[in-house]
Amino acid sequence: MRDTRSSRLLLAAALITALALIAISYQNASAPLLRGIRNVAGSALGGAERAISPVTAPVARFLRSGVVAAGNGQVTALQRQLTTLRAQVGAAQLTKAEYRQLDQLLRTSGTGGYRVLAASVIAFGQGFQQTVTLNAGTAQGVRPEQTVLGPAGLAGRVIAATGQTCTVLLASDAGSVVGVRLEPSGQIGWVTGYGRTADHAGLLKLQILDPATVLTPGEQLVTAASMNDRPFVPGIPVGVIAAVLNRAGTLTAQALVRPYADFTALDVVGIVIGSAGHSPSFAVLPPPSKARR
Amino acid sequence: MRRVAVAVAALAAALLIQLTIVNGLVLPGGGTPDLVLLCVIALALVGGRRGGLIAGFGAGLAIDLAPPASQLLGQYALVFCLVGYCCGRLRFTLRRSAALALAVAAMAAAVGEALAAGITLALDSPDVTWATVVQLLPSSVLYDVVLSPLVLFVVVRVALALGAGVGEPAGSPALELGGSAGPAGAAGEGAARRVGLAGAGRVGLAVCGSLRPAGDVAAAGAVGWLSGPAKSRQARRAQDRRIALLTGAAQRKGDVWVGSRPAGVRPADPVPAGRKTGPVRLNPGAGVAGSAAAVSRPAARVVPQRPVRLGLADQQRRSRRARSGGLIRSGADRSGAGRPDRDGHGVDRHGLFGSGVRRISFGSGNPVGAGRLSPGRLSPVRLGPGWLGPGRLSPGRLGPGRLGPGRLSPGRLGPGRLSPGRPGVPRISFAGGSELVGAGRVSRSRPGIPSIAFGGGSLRRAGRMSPGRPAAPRFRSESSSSVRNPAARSRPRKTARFGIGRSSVLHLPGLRRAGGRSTVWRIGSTRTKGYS
Repeated sequence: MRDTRSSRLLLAAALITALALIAISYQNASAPLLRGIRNVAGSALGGAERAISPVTAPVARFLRSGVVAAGNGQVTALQRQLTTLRAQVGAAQLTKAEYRQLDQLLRTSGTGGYRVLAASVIAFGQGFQQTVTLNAGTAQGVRPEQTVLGPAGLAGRVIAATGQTCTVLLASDAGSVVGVRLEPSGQIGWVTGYGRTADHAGLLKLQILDPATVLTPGEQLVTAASMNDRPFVPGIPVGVIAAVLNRAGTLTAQALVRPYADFTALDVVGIVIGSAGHSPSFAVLPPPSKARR
Repeated sequence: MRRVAVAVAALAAALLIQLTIVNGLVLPGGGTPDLVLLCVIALALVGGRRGGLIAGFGAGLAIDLAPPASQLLGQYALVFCLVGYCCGRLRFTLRRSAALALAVAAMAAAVGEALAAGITLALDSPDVTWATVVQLLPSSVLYDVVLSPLVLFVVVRVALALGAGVGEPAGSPALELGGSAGPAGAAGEGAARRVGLAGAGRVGLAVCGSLRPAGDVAAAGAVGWLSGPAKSRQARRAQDRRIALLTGAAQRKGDVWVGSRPAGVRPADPVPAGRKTGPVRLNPGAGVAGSAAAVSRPAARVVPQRPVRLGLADQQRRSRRARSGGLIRSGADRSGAGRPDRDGHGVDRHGLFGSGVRRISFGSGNPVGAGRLSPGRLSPVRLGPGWLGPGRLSPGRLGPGRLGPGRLSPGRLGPGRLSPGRPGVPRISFAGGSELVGAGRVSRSRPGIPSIAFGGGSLRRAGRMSPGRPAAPRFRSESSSSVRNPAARSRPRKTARFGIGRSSVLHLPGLRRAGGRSTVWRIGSTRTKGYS
């Protein structure tokens, strides 16, 4: 095909449309037009993701686990048989890993007195985004700016919700900011993610407002209270200080935090749709001896 | 329509797999492959630039909108539509060689990833830092490059199974996403599938020119290795015939045909400069103008002032189409009749001719004479003022040669020129002009080089052509007589038409135009008297 006028016009139209969309969303990401488009398309595509998640979720889980019982065919076969039997019994389609995560999640939320809606991760963000989609939406009571709990600790917060799905911004995203308190002292600070980097893989960055604070590895963090429990309900374990960054000239005390939640292996999470009405303070934290360093 | 549906389905599948599985993978290096990008690239390489553009934009927008997305809307749409368009431009690589197409796909994947990262870096600068991009980009590109052959393979295979000719002549709307016209015109889907399968069968051999002993068929593409070589002689022959159909190339050196390209015939690669081939061979029995090549006549001395249009009468086209069963498409695509800037199927303005194929363009040239043979290259024969695109020479088995009605190509306006060609190469010049008294006046300008001159008549008659019907050009010659019969100059004005077929068999009595204001002149038939 020659570079005909029509194809050039089409190219120009496509480029202008894309640039216009970028400009609009850059200026105001929650413009009504964009919100409408995102809602409609998000419902459709999220529905599709949700629909195929029974197929894709086991595949993704298998690929992400990395623990492939290679060479041990018997174990694999038995596991497969077990899964099949479980499905047949109809007890649950949950795998062992899911059971473990769910169990831990329920224990965590039970300790804190949170009302939690369990949901599964069905999709992952593209590019540099650290976002996931859950298979629960406004129909289940999910609203934006709700806290999402991983099995062992904070996972992130809901940033968008459609009818059947919601999008969670993980705490490891570079744009995520979580207000935290230090366990023994109650110092206020915040935790940001590093995004998808290999440098500080799986670590978060803690900054404490008081530059005079002396941070020591092993100190635990919980979420600080937010107004109306949004976006974060108080008392959710975030992580433990892994290394202290001593940088001259900074206004804050900084440290690297190893989060309790494994952001690369999130599967079953809980969306906190109601809290106990009082802050559990540090009660939800695991015992310090078990805290990973 | 089915192809569009399959393309959409492929993109949707790639998108969902990407979002639900691939993005969650933790791979060494931190990057992840981008299946959607690879899918867009492959679709663009198969479907051309418009298809690639639409596919890229749609897929990018879907990524921007699919639920886990929190980036700016339009980011990926911008990148992917650019990538799709550029890959569509590089579509020709797919029928040149496998390695070239794979290299293009890999490079496009790398460029696409870099573009996406660059846009993210520019727009999400506080969150996404340069260090992050530098860390993740190489591994992402690496995974893409590794996966691109696989995706390309699958997409090309599916496209071929669906009847998409990978090397379908550019300009055919049939292959583009959203295109509605069937590639074979009247024959529609069936012929398209036939051609497409033929492509699947043959292209493979053409992939390596070395496999083909007769080197005059250009390498046809990257796809055919799927089907493997032909084992029996019969299969090889069938493949040869198919590749002639596919590439539009001649069967033997110097084998040519005149007329419009049959449907599905692929434009072969442009003729490499300086390549020597044998003299033009035209099919004498086909009623082609070239049959007169044996008669050595000098070039006409013509100073034309008006273009002469040459084409098929509607009746002839119809009968031709009916006869050919749709496999050979007759010249004018009806749907494109109003778009003169589009190539007709009989005309290709770029690289239509494979090696060993002469160009013929119609036109009246400057005083030097119509149709200049450029030395050192294949000798183009041009009929008319470049007003019609070059006609086409075909091997005889593809059907009788004919002078095809070219679509108008404004870019070719201007006199077609014939330069003194190599000795022994026949020249055919169709000249029109008022100053040509009599039919195709012949002067022996150079011995041994035959040329045929079709004399153009007065301007009054030429002016009767309605300029608004460019798709159905018609050659009318005011001059009536044959070159051999000077007495015929006094005859009344006649219109010469070039028939498609072999003889007047094509003209069923019932189809003959009633009250013909003109006489049908078929070159090579007895009615042309002097011309045969």
